Amino acid sequence: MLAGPVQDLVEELTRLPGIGPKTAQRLAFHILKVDTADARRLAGAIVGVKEKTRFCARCFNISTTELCGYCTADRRDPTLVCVVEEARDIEAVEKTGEFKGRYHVLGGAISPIDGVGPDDLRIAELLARIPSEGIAEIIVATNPNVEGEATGMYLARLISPLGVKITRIASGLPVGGDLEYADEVTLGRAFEGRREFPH
Amino acid sequence: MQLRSLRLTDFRNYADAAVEFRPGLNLVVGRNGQGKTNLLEAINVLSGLGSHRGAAGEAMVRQGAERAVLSGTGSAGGRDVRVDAEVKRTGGTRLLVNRVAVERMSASSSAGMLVAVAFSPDDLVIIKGGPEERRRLLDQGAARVRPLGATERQEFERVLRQRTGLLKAASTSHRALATLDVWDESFARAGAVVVRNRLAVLDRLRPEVLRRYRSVSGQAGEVSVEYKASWLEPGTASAASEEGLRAALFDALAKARSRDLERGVSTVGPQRDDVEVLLEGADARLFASQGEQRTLALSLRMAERDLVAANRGEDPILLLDDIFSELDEVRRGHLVEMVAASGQTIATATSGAGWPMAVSQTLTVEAGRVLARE
Ligand SMILES: Nc1ncnc2c1ncn2[C@@H]1O[C@H](COP(=O)(O)OP(=O)(O)O)[C@@H](O)[C@H]1O
Ligand SMILES: [Mg+2]
Ligand SMILES: [Zn+2]
Repeated sequence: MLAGPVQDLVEELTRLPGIGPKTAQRLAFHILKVDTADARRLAGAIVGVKEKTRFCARCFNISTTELCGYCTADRRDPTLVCVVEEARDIEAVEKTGEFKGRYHVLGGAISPIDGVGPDDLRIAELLARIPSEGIAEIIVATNPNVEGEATGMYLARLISPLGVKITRIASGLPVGGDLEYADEVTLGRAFEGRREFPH
Repeated sequence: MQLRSLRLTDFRNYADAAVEFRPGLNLVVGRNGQGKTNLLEAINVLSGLGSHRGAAGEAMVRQGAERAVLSGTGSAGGRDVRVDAEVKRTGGTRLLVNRVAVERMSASSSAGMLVAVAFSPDDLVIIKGGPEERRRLLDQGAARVRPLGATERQEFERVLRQRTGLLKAASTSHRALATLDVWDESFARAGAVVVRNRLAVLDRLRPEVLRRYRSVSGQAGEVSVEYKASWLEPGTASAASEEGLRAALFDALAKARSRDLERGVSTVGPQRDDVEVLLEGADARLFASQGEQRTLALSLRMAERDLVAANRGEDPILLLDDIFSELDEVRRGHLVEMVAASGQTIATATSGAGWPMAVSQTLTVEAGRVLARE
């Protein structure tokens, strides 16, 4: 039987995603061994992330200020908005360096079996941004799965009638590698999404 | 295509066993309950299809162990191949082909993979059982010929679950209804793809089933296999385009909506469809004799073998689980012909007697141990 405080820590760690009882125990015993200063820094970082961050009032990205960096940057095109499921998806899009507009974080995807409907997502907030920011195009970058597609379709039904262009990112092949090494499903999907060469 | 060696660790009643196979007919002999079917099941798992008896991972891991590990070597498509599988007690199978992880569902149609077709006395359920048995034959066939086939099927299953979840939620909250149109559209799109895949498999099975049935029965009987869907006009399925299927399914969902909402289930769609096996124009499930049904079941499996062989350009490994003793003299003869014309067969029996053809080797199985006997 573990001492009470160790047991508490193991239980808290087990509640984290991707951490089972064994990993939780290993982490707990590691924390037991480190300096008190290190433990305080870890605890401080955990508390800090809760106390010093909030959602951007416009796009719902994680931010330390009222509006996030993408919403306040001058050089970004405010008429172009990329819709993602989670704030962490913004980082993935940013890494491409291809997108220079603003974002909108839905907070998930429509999934009846998880009890998530349109009202549980920040869809009304997205619609409200269209007139106030003069949005001309919305790019749907939800996950390429059944729920992400359904969410995109739902948005398209709401937004198309407003005269705003709504597009979906394509699924494609990893670039730079050999075709030979692409997995069958990705390559198969790339065939379905093939395009004509421009004349 | 050939399996050369198989190693089983903590799989069913095998603690640790290694088996070598030869080209031609490998006979696995042993009393009941010794592990013959388990051995064939292991080979089916390695070919990416999971258990041929539809068992879950939990059932396949040896009692008291956490995971089963299988490893096979052989050749496919003219190249050496090594396949490793790890089956976890908690569910889930990990497959490695030449030490590279592959998606289990699409593995069964991957080039350079060891592929098996299993025959068992339980195959009679394809004729006598419920529609799900016949749908499985087609869906498995679709996964065998195209890696995307398995993915497309999984996507439909997911949409079906979501739509059903929505119908259930809608009974308590009207708010949930807002997305039903979107799920109907997803359902029609994913469902049309699944049905298109099934129809393509049926088109390829049809001539083979007829040919095999005539040959095995020695009669000029008319055999056909037809897709049956409540949402399609009878007889129009095989001519329908994917676009046409999608439109028909979408219409049917609209018509079924109030009923679906009332019952909280999806009452139309590919999850309810069936395949009619017709003998002389009559439903074999209801009108064929026991012997005719057995011949039809055998012919369907043979046709599946033919489909895989044509798709690969190479014979799949045949796994015959205790089926020789089940058959009468004539049907045995045709089975022997198929085995003689195939590259490699692994057949189980309670006794080694009765095979009117050369046996490459006889293996004896006793309580999870395998011994080679010349
Ligand atoms: N998960 C398991 N762990 C241990 N033994 C198992 C497991 N699953 C099945 N068995 C044993 O395997 C035996 C049946 O093997 P099987 O291959 O079906 O026999 P047969 O030789 O008749 O085909 C039974 O003795 C059963 O108890
Ligand atoms: Mg058996
Ligand atoms: Zn922002």
